[in-house]
Amino acid sequence: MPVRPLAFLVAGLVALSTSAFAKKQKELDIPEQPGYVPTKAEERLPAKWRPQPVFFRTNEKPGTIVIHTNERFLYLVKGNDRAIRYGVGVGRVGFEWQGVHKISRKSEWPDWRPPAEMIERQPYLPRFMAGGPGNPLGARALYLGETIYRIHGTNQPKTIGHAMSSGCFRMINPDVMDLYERVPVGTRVIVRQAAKL
Amino acid sequence: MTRLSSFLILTLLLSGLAACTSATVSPGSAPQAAVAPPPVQVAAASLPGEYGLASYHREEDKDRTLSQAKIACRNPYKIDPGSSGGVVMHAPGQPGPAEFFVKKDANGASFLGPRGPAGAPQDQRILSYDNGTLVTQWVSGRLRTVYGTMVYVPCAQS
Repeated sequence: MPVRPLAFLVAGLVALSTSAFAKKQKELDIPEQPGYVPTKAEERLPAKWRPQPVFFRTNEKPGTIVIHTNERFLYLVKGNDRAIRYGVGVGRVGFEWQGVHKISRKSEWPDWRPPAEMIERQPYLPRFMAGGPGNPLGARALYLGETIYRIHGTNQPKTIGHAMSSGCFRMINPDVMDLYERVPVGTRVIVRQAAKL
Repeated sequence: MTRLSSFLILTLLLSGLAACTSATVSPGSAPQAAVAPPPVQVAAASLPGEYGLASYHREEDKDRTLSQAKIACRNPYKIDPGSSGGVVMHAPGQPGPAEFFVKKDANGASFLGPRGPAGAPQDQRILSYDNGTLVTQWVSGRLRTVYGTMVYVPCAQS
């Protein structure tokens, strides 16, 4: 039967492309760098990750935020199948999630509390670091419902496009400041995961 | 009014104005030398214990940080007594804890750090020690940029 070899070929190609995608999108294993202030040059991301208007077919209302975790993109729906697309960093393996929430709170220069495992490794770390330049949460934070998750800035621009967080979505500071001005509290946020083969 | 009396009145008025002007340039407004903060009295023996540890960069965040430091007693930072009269603490970039000593420089400023000259890059300058609350800044500019002002609030009091 000619169908069988074709099925194997298709399955093989899918497996190959999936593993190549996984390799390309592998986790970035770098620790937080509290206090590190990135340069302007570092915040100039590769073109793919910079904010840009894109074609985006959706039934969601203008003003809605849609995050495609696997793509590492956040879309701000503008209507007429258009959106502004931003590059983001997403949760690492084991910290992926999906759901629908509303922005419950907005904060400028949010405070940071290092996770317990980080304090265990670095006991001298302050358990609370007031917001400011160099803070790992960056310049702005948008809190998602009652969850522990946020869309926030970062002092590590090189993490954009990677899966390395504990489930939060990070953007470079100029981008999160731009988004912060465009969306009010109450904005609907849809987090999507692509189905895995 | 004679010409002489007019001159005298004008002279008095001008001298009065001059007095007003000179009053605004009092000796007190002359540039003053920066005043060094008063020396901080702290004995290493009083430091061991558990602390809520927090930090801030902007002065307006100070009070909020103090409150958060008290909450941080849920996961306290422990200062142990050292074997040579100092205290056992950690420093960023060091493989493990080390014995720190309270040291004073020639100007009377107090520092907390490993044995050696006061004010070395690996030291923390003690800004205040009040009711057991220790406020410090790393001498190293890099560490100061990272951590800002460190606040250690004793947990027993919080």
